[in-house]
Amino acid sequence: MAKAITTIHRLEINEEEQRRRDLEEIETLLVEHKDTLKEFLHMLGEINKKGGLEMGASLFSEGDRVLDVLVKAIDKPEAASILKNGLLMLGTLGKLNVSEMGPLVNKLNSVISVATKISRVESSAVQLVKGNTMSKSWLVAAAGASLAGMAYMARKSDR
Amino acid sequence: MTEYVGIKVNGHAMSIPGDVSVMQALKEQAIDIPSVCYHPALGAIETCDTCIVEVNGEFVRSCSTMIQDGDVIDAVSPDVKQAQEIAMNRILYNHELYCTVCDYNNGRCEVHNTVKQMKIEHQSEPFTPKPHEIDNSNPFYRYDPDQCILCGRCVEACQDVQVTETLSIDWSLKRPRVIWDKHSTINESSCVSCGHCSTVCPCNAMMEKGMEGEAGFLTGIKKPTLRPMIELTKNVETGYSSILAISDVEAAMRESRIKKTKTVCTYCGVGCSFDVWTKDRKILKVEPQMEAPANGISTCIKGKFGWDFVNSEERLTKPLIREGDSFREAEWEEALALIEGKFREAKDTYGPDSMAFISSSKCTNEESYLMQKLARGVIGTNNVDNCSRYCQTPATVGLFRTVGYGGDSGSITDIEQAELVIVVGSNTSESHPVLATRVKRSHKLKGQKLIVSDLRKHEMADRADLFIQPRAGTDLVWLSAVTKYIVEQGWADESFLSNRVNGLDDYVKSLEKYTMEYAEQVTGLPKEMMIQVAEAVHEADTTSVLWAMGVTQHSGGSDTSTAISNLLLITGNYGKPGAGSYPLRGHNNVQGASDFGSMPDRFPGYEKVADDAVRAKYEKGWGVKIPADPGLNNHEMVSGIHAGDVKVMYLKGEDMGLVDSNLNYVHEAFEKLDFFVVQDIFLSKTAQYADVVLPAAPSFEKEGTFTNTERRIQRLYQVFEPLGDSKPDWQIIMEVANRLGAGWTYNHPSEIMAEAASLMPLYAGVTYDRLSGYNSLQWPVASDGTDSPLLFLDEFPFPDGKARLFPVEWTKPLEYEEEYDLHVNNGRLLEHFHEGNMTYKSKGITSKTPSVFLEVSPELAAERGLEDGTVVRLTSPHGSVKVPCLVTDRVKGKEVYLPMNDSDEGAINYLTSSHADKDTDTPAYKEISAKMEILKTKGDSPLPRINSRNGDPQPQIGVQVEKKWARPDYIFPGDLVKKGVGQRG
Repeated sequence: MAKAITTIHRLEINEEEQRRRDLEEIETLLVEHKDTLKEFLHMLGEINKKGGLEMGASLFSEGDRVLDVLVKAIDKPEAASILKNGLLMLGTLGKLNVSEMGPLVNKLNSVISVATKISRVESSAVQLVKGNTMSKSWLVAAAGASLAGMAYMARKSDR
Repeated sequence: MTEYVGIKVNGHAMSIPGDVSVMQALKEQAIDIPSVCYHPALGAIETCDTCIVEVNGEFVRSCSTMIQDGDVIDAVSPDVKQAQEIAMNRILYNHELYCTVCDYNNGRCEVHNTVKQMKIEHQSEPFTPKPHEIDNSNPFYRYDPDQCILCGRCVEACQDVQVTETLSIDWSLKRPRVIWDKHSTINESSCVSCGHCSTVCPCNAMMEKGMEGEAGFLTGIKKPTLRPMIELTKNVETGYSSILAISDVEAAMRESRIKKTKTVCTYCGVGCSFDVWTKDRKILKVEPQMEAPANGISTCIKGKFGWDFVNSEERLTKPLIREGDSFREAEWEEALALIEGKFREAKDTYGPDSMAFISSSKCTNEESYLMQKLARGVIGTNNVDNCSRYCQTPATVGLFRTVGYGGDSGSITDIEQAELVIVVGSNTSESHPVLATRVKRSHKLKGQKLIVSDLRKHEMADRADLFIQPRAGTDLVWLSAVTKYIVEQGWADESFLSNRVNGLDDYVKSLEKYTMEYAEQVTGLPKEMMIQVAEAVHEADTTSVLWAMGVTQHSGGSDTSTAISNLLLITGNYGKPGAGSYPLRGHNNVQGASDFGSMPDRFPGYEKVADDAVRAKYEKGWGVKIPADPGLNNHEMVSGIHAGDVKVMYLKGEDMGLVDSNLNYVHEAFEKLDFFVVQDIFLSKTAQYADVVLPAAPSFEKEGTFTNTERRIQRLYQVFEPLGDSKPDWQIIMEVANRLGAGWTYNHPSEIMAEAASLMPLYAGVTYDRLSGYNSLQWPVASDGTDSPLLFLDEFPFPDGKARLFPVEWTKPLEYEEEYDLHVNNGRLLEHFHEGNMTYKSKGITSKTPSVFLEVSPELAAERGLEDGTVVRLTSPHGSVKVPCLVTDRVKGKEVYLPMNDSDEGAINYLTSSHADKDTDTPAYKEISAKMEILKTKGDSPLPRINSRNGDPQPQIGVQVEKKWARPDYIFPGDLVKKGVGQRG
């Protein structure tokens, strides 16, 4: 026999009882996942030896700022170009058939070593033309042209 | 019979059914063509142009071009591809693509998917921002013009599916955008927040706020950081295929953190079903599905956005035990032990009939079954009832009398296709919003005729071809007069009557007094108007009558419902698609609560308790003895408490202390109970009187089934674990029963349904397997699973298979002393569900409708000096309410309207009496008169400016794409290709 009432006295669990319940819950979880935890802790130990944990903690705690700086830093035309060209290059590389290029690569390697020798010899020639760096460039260009020429010749003969 | 036509597609000849569009024909042949604006629920919109193909050498939009015999279709030529790409580039010009950091990147974005499908690597013109701000004003969804591709789906949905007619596209702007009303903000417009626009939007332009920052792994990034990320992504893009691949990965990853669960709405009787997207305990959005049988993609404000109550801090999470003048939280063991002791004591001391059980029209079928099993099988009493007595029982009785089944005779699709719909005493667009959209759409677009009979000029009345306003409580008279007129004109369906109906002669004789003159005098309706109704019924091949509380909540509610059914029988409007009787069930499970025997005189399946054979069946099935005498209904229980016969009550999922009539009388009864157990999700008004309150779980936190107004049984799946220590009602009832020695061992609601189905023929073939996903069954369901979408096709469920005309007499409504000079009509409101126990927990809904208000007419306002915000006291012989006024022409003269959304001083049932329908004890809620006293002349309007009723809708048909085509900057992509121009211009 009762009037309408609205007051509710909440069941209060004292701190000690709540702690006991929380510990019991954690204890159960630990026991259930014992093997996984052992592996995980081992892995964490290795990372910690390398200072990885401290770095990771800093990265996460300053995550917003880091992301902000990072994004703003790379939001520049040159950064975008680097990324774009990098992606394009990856795409191009992905289309090359490297096994077909084997003989060409070998020839390129031998041309490079020849060019290197030329470069060393011509150092004195450069010196003869009084250290004109343009000459070195000519040499590199000549070596490059030789490379290209030889590469062309190699492809032609391989067909 | 569909005719087949011969066509050629991409060089291959084929023969296909001819009544399809080119797009449909191609899709059926698994030919991949793009489309962005097309949506199966909306039809062809023709704004995106991406679906262009060549038909007989001409470029056409495949969505809106119908197949004809001999067509030669090319969907793959370079020219076709070019035209499609031009269209897609125009879309990308309007939409900034940043999928990986977009909240809508969930695999369903049409822009993303179509770019991928078309293998577009770069857009020909870059996106440029539009000169329009994001509109964040609405509490539930936002519009971002920079993402809007102007597909018009939202406009189409708002204009022609929901038919609130708020949205349009302003094609006259340099950069067009979607607008609300005439360029209002969303929140100050006529938008009713039904959610259709955000549901159909193909991208993230129109999006639910629950998704923002929550849906993706990278979407919660702050704007200052997000903008450079977007710019970087766009600058780096080597091609969209690489970007989209990354976003596809991210979209796939989201599947692991976003749970999508199918459920059935817990609000009204339409029975909308949809997926709920959740992340941990957060509700991200409600996502309707095309396959949802009752509603498809449709929702209303409550179903789409009204779920805050599930996680409300006010949820009960522990049992409460009364101690002095407060409750204290307790553990389940203590609460159940107390209940066991008190129940045993009452049963042993006073007998089983001293106990009463109230089941719920909100809880599941399985829970209703268990409550009546507890009452009958464990306690030994038939004192069990539920709140459908407050509303729908008269309609059920009216139908049982005439056609043998107490449920809607067809489906919502039948209402949709009826040639004539008559709505009597139903505010359908606010009480059954999604169902009303079908009527509004058919009326707007398909020539459906609409007649409305109501005291109040609500939205359906506004739209009606004929709106009649008879005096309160006189519907039976005009219905009978119309029927008599039809018979006299020779318009009765003679063949139907002679083959399928009994009792014609007696019935026609009973109509003698219902002359037009008599009807005119009683109803106040001119006879010409009633003749118009008769003519409309005669001219329509199919008539569906929808009715609700304006009919049932009267002294003669059962008889008026019977009169409706009589009219339908006389005119042969049963047993054919598009015709029939549709009492619109209020709660999500009114139908189910009654189906499952939460009634004092009926077992599940409506078989009578007094029938020895039926009782024996249940006694055998349950292994118990069951009393033979019908018990008390909820009205009689209240009287029984006052008389000292009923000592103990166990009530679940209902706020009887607010929704029963004559509240002062009901509250006094509660105070007299020896022991009162209330089981609910909140501390409701009723629960405040309890000795023990048990914390229950709402629909999101349990499995089960609901049965909607179409007799459609649908499954709900569990979204969340019960909050705190709350439990699903079926588990609680089982624990109570087992404390009393029941020995029940149900592990899952499917077992309860299996038991019920084995005992009740109506649900014989219902199993959870047959209801999996979006499957549903409409009873009766035979044991092989065959269900009955349309009743009475071959026969009526009477021994001779024939229906029965049932003579009825008009019952005069209650009359009051002269001082009670205002008639107080009452009912629902769109935004709040009943008293608002659940909906007031939504900040958004509360912001739109913060309180109850009394609608008063301009005439009454002028006479009494009332204005918006004037606070008045209404007093009836039974009590009084205090409420602010709203002056509106929805009511006239001395009719006022008080909606139900208050649980305090403005609660309507402080005014209502215990007077009831003579056949069912349904309270005559609509028969109240009161006197008015002004308490405070000036005040704030109870309806804030941002309520949709203050908006200014702009009706039109669809998105008016012709206006887009007429723009000087628009050229059909097909024409550009012909000209040899490769880009927009």
